[in-house]
Parts: sequence; C-alpha cells; structure tokens
Amino acid sequence: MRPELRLAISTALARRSRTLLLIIAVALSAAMIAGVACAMASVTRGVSARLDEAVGRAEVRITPVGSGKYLTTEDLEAARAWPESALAVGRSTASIGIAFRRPFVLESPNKPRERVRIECLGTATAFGIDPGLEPRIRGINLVAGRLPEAPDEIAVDEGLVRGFTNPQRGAYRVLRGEDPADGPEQPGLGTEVFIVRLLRSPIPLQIVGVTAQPPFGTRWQCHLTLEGLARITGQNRLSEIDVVLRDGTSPTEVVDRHRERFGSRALVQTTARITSDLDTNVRGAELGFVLATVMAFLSASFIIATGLSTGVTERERELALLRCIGATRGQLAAVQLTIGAMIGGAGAAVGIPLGIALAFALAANFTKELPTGAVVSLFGVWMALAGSIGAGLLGAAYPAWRASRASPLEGLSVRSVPPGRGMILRLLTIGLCLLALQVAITFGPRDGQVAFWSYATVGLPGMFIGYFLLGVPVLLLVEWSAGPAVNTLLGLPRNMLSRTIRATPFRYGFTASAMMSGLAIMVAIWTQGRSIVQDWLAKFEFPDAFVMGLNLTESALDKLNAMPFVTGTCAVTLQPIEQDAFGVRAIQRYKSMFMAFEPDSFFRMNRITWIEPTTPEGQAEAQRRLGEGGAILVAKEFQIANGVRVGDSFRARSGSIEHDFEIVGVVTSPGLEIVSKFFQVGESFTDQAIHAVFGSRKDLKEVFRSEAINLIQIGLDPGHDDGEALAMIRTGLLDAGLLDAGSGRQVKEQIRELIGGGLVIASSVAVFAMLVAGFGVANIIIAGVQSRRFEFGVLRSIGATRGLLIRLILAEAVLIALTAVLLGTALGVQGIASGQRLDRLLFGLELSVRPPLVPIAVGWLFIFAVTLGAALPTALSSAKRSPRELLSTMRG
Amino acid sequence: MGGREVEALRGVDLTIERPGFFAVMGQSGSGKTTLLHLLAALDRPDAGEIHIAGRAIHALTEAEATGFRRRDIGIVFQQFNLIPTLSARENVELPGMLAGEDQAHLAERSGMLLDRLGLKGRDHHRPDALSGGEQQRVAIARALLFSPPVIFADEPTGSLDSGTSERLWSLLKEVAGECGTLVLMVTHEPAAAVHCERIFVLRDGRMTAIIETEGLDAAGVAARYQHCTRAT
Repeated sequence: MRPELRLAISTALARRSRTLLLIIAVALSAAMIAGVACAMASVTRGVSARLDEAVGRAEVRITPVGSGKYLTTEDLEAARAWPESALAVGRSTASIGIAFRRPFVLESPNKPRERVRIECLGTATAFGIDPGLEPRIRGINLVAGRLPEAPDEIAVDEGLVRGFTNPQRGAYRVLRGEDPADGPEQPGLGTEVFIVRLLRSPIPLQIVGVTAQPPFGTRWQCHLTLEGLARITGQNRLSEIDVVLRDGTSPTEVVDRHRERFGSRALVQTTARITSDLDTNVRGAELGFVLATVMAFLSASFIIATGLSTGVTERERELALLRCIGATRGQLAAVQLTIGAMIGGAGAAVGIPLGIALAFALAANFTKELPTGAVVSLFGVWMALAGSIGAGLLGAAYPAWRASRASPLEGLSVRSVPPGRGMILRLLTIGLCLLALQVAITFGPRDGQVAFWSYATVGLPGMFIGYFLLGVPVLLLVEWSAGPAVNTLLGLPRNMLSRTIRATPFRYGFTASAMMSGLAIMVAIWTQGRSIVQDWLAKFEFPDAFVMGLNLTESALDKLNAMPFVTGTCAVTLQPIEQDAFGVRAIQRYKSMFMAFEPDSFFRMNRITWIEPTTPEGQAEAQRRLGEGGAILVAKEFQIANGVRVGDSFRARSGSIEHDFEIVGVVTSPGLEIVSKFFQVGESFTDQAIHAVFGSRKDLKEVFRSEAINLIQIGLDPGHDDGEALAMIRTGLLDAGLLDAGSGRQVKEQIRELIGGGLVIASSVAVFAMLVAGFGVANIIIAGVQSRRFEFGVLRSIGATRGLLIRLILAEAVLIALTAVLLGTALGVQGIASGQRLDRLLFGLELSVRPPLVPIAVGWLFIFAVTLGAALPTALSSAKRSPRELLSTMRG
Repeated sequence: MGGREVEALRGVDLTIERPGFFAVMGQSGSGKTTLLHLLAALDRPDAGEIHIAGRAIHALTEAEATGFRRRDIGIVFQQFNLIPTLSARENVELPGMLAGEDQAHLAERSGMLLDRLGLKGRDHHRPDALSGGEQQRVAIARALLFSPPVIFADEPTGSLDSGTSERLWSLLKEVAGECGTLVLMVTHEPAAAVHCERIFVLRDGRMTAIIETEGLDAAGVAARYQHCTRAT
C-alpha cells in the first residue's frame, strides 16, 4: 500500500468521531443532490410519458392555428397522399359533458340518511380516434377492456371512474321519482354513461374500456370513435393529424415541402420540435440543478477545508517529524488530499443511496402526481459522486498546502507565532472585493441575459467565497464589540476571551464561515417566497367567478346572463403568441398570451390600475383605441422587462401570422394569464406563458381569425353563495364546452397553497444545508478544542479551574455563533437583493426585501444550538482530564 | 528568533574520521542543538561547509536534503517523536514506507531491529502503551532502519529516569560498536557523555575543547568539562 494511503487511513481512523462528522456532512449534501435529481427525473419522466402519449410514433404533426379552428378529412387525405407518408391518422378533440346515473346515499345535516338515485356530472376531454389506426401511432394505456369500435362505445379514464364513484357536492343532481336501487354504484365495463348536450337529448354510450389516468392529469379523458364524437358535436372535424414517415425520410424536409398547402390556417411541424421544448425545459432545470449542486458542495468543501486545516494545525509536530525522517512536501500534501478524497468517497457511498431512497419514498407517497414512479437519475448520481469527491479534494487543497509547508525545525519547536495582521487585512480586502464584484455584476448590466449568466458563473460563487473569507475580520469585529460583554457574562478573567480569540482568529473565523451557508439559504428562500405571496400574488384581483373551456360559444354567454345571480359577463379569448423578450435565452422559450375581450364589458367588470396614461382623458382615449382595433395594452411586468412605452410598436406572431400593434397603455396585470396558466387552457404544458398583452376581440377575429371563447369572467351578486352559484353554473354549462369553473378567491387560495407547498420543499433543502453545516462545524469545534489540550494543561497547571476552562470554551463558541449568524443573514439578504434584480430584469417582477423574522430567528437558534452543543461535551471532556494528562498531549 | 537575529554558531571546526560514540556538550544556549540540526540537514548554515560521508551537506537542495535524512542518517529526539497513531513496528518502518520500500523486506528488518533492542512482543503496541524507555528504543530502531553511517541523538535521555537512561546510553554505545555507526549525541549531562569516547565542548557558539574520556568516570568528565568551560 502506498505510504500516503497508509498514513491517510491511520490519521483518519485515529480521529474516528471527527472523521465521521465530516463524512456525514458530505453524505447529507450528496443525499440532497441525489434525491433532488431523482425527484426531478421522476417528474420529467411523468411529463415525458404524457408527451409521448400525445405524440406517439408520429414524426410530423398538423394542427390548426388559432382557437376554435379545425382540420378536415380532406386535410387527412392530403397527408395520406404524401409520397413520404407511411401512415397518417386523424384525431378530434372536444370538451364534453358526461353524466352517470347511480344509487347514492344522501347525507344532509338535520335530515335522516336517504337512499336516492343521482346523476353525476362532469366534463372531460374527449378524443375521437380511428380505433384501427390509433394504436399503430400512439399507445393508449388500457387498464381494462378495449378501445371503442362503434359510435355508441366509449373508454373512460380511471380519474372519471374515481370521480363518479365518490362524487363531490355540487357535482351531481338528485333524480327524484327514479328507483334508487337501479344500477351499479360506479362506472365500469358494460355500464352506461350519457353525453349531455345543449337543447338535445343525451346520448347513451357503453363503457367498453378503462384507460390509465395520464401523468399530471387533472382533467378527465375519454376515447370515442371519430364517428362517435362527430355524432356528439354535430361536426365532422379533426383537431390534429399525425403522420409517420417512411424510413429514411427527413421530417424537416417533409415539413418544408408540404407546409405551403395548408397556408396560414394550419401549423405543420416535426414532433421533434414539440418534444424539444420539453428537452429545453429539462435543460433549463438541469442548469439550475447544476448551480445548486455547485453551491451545496462548495459549502461542504468549506467545512472540510476548515476541519482538515484544524487537524493539520493539531498535527504540526507530527508533520514536522515526518519531514525530519524524510517525507517530502509532496507526500505530506498527498496524505491530506487522500484524506479529503476518502471523506468525499465515503460521504457519497452513504449519501447517494440515502438520497435515492428518499426520492422513492416521496414517489410512493405521491402516486397521483408521480404515477410513473421514481426514477434513478444517473446524471444526479454522477453529480453527487463528483461533487462529493470534488468537495473532499477542494476542501483538502488548503490543508494539503499547509501540510506541505511544514518545516521540521519550526514544527518541533514550541515557539508560537502570532497571527500576522497583514493576512487578516488581505482577507478583508479580497472578501470585500468579491462582494463588490458580485454587486457590480448583478446591478451593472441592464441586459437580463448578461446579468443572469455573469451572476450564475461568477457572481454567486464569488459572493459565497467572499463571505467565507470575511469570517475572520467579522469575528474580530464581533470580538471587539461583543467580546467584553460575553467575557463578563461568563465570569472570565479580564481580556482572557479577547486574548484567546486574537491568538488564533483564523480557526474561529473560518469555523463561523462554515456555518453560514445553511442560514443564508433559509433566509433567501423564505424571503423570496414571502415576497411572491405578498408583493405579487396579493396584487392580483381575480374575477368573482369564471368559466374555462376549449371552445365556449355565445350561447354559453346567454345562458350565464340569464342566471339570476349573474351581474355581468365578459368573454375572453386566449391566443398564444411568440416573442423573444423574456426568460433566459438558450434555456427556455417564453410565450405571451394575447388576451382578447370586449373593452366595454371588460373595463366595466374589472378594476384596472393604469400605469400609463396617467390622466383620465388619456385612459379613455386608450380604451377607445382598443375598441377600434390595432391597439393593445401591456402588463406592468411586460413594460419593466421590455422597456417599452406607450406609442411603441409590438409585433405578435402566431403561426405564420404576424401583426404589429400599437401599445396604447400599461396596466397592472388583472391576473387573467395567471388564471389561464393555472387551469392549463390549451394544454401547452411545454410552453411558459407568463406575460400577457390585452387586445380586442375585434382584432382577434380580424387578425388571428378566431372567434372561440376560452374564458368568461362572471360578476356575481355579492349576496349569493359562491359555492352554490358555481354548482349551478357548472350544471347549466355542462353541455356548452365547459372545462371548469372557479371563483377568484378559490384560485388565489390554491396558488397560495402551491407556493406554500413549494416553500416547504425548498425549506427542507435549507434545513438539509443547515444540518450539513451543523455536522461539519461540530467536527471543527471538537477538533479545535482537542488541539488545544496542551494549552489547557498549561492553564490548569498554573491555577485555572475546570469551570473556567469550560466557560472559556463556551464563550468562544458564543462568538463563533454570533459571527455565523451575522455572516449568514448578510449573505442571505445580499442573495435576495440580487435575485430581485434578476426577477426585475428577466420577468419584470418587482418584489420587496422583507426577510421573515420567525424563520430567521429559528435559524439563529439552530446555529447557537449546534455550536454550543458541539463545544459543551468536548469542553467537559477536556476539563475532566488532569493537568498532567493535558500536558502529555505535547509529546510523541 | 522572535524577530531578532541570533548567531547561534560562530566558529565550529569539527572532524570525526571514524565510527564511534561521540558527544557534543555545552550549556543551554551554547549552540549544540543548532549544530545538530545543521549536521542533520534540518537547517542550512549561513557560512561554512559540512561534509558527511563525502557529501557536501551544506550544498544540498531541499529534495536532496530530504533524501539524505531518509536514508543516510538517523535522528533520535529528546521527545521520542513517534507517530501516535501508528504501532511500534509501523513507526520503525516509516522511513522505508516513505521511500517506497518493499513491505515484506521492511517487516523483516523492523522485526529484527525491535527484537535486537529488546522489544519483542511489543511491536503492535502504540506509543501510548509503551514506557518512555521503550518509546526511545523504538525511535532508535527507526533511526537504524537503513543502517545509516551516522546517527544523531539530541538529548535522547532528557525525558527518562536515570536507570533507563543508563541502559539507553549503553545501547547507543553498542550500536556504534557493533554496527560500525558514528553516533553523535548532544547532551549536557556528564553521566551521558562518559559513555562516549570523545566529547566536543561548545561554548557561546564556538568549539572550545575536546575531551578524551578514556580512563575517566562521570565525575572526572564533569571536572574536566568544568575546567574547560572555566578556562575559556
């Protein structure tokens, strides 16, 4: 065995508990990274599975452009006639109202239980398929039965079965006068369901198959034959045509060759482009993951560096002896690096399986959200492994350098060298310069892309390192300001604490630095989350109620207006458009939404806050221009991120249609795009629609040639119960293409829950980071106390009591903890300020800095607990030993 | 030292032409430890030359000095300076390990040395399980691993009781005689120096006398030493 390895093993084993603490610190980091990677991979697989289900084997897809548009059987025949086409299959999609009649036990307060017959009501997305060809192009996950083959057959999904088996209040109506015992209590193979239609008798269909609920599916799905769906909708139309090409054919060339035939009414694209959007999103997430990994392992390497450096100091004599008997500088350095690699490797060996197990446990608990189960991410495993060993080696680099510089003569002598002021000043200077660099990088550039990339690659790591280096000067500042008080509080002789700290400020300072990252992460996460809820979400004024649908019509408006509790309606159409303004380019493509409404009813129903124009006359003129056409309003976030002004031109693209609009006003976002994104209208789960422009339905019809209605805002009588109103709306519009109905309050609550849930998950990351720091710092503190046993022996031999020794060690721990909380809080706040700057540049979001006091206080308490908790047992153990025992640690 | 320049040695002319057991004596601050450090290539002289076994020690590069300390000399310290986390055998083998020697050969050699120095059965014990005398014998065994022509011992019995010290001085004399090794011991004790055949006296950084110990006992050495130091 090589001498370096033997020495490394014996050194590591000689200090088992401290080595174990360092390994645990690395293991927790590795577990966090591996767990997050597996969770992300599981989510991606779910989304990918859903996408695969949608895309299947198809290489080219033809879809109509614009809401409410369709393809025809002639288009399908044309695609089949392509020389390159091996198989072309059409599909239609529609929103249908579906009902199921069943026995039910009705329970009402103050009434006896009653057995009745009910009709369960729901909406579903119906796919009309060619049962002979569909399986050849796309797998449909059947869990029972078969696909429909006749117009009166249907296959439903498991979600619908569950929903009708346990119907919610408001989702059924009681059928008085019918036999309550008649029929099964849940839908299944052979049972009958009804398609509910406007002003027409319902159509009975027999369930012949049950499909698996798609991943992340919240809306029910069902499959019918093309004829069956055409019978329901009364229209023989197709929503998409998928084409499988002959072998050796280039999809891109085929698209280029045949695009023109469809003109501007249909989009012909390769399915690779569709899936590439997911890949782009995945790459974006992976980039964020890589950054997070670097930060996590940078923190771990700080801990290892400080821990091993303390060990080098402790073993200075031993290292000097090794030099005396012929060890080279390189060999001493190699021992430290080997120890670092061993700690990293052991940490990875423990942490990676732990992280994977955590991800699987998560998947087992969230089967609905992750029906495809957990996935082991090899990328994540490699990142965790490389990061762990990298942290070990990086952390061991400085101790290796120090060990290599061990001088035989200086190491064997008992002379102590006081720390140089020059080094402390250098640390202060370099640390402040790095912080200044980070500020310059983040707040200097006006271009969001430049700011983001320079922050991610230079600013963020520089900021971490800068605060780490500032640990020593900040500790001295804390000692100068708080030291005398702590000294007095713990009954120490005058200046004793100060002299001790100033003798070895580097050890104490870097120990405090090692502790700071977990607190900083917690401060940043909680402040950001709170700002999003209070500064962003709180500002939205959602409508009293709304209904969403793929293709609502004017008749739906009429039905709503006829309801007694409805005070007004406003139809809104959501037209996705492309632009390049937002997001981090090369990672994700962001879309905007052209929200078209009738200006008069919209402004009557919504309280819009105008940013520009500022005068009532200007605002009235803007409204008038909107009604005329060719003009749009933009959201405030859009203006901030894009730097546009009233009077500027905005080009909107949708498919092959391009049109320039004049910006006539800037308003605070009325929240409609949040609502639409929340309910995923349009099923564009790979695009990010985060910003909206607001225009007229006149422009929608004339420019984008669409008349569909996707969203209807509803004003409700304040005296009427929300829940009851919504139940009646749902019932009344089941046959009108309704997808969902909701209240504004409900949406806000659900978004708040989503953000809250996300905050909990992110906080668990912060807790993990603090645990990592905790284990690491405990090791450093223990090592520091043990390395000073000879010094303690001298103190005891000249009259210091055991109690004095313990109080001295605790006083040092208090100063370390104080320094750590200052550094961690400052780092967190600077991180937040930078994040806000980027939010503004990239997304136009303006969030304020309001660190939440309770989580920060909890973080502070945790740091004090860990620091004092590590110091006390070691202090007690050292104090228990006799002066002779302590002095003998100098020998050998 | 502590920011001051101190001239520890300012005139030492020392020649030893054959193996044997020799001592350097002097009071505290006389420069004897500095002399030993220079001879052991732990430090470099500001002026002058040092030649050991035909090698110009004063001109060695750092890498050459490291190799010199590993194979060409042995050092025994006052504080034993064993690695506390290694066993007695491993401490003895340490220079060989650093040199990349074959493990089987090292094991054989270390076993023989420990046996020879009366430490049979103690080879797997760590230093904290050995007495002071045993630890120092392990240190001597380590110094003898490569059978170097020269061994330097810096106050090797400074931490031991008189009985153990006596046994150790006799041991060093045996080593010098049987192994043909030049053992140069730094000491301030006449009881130690009497075991040596010649004593080099240092005072204030200069070599002031050479005492031949043949026919002298410890008291005689002490008297001769005091006479030398008084006379100058």
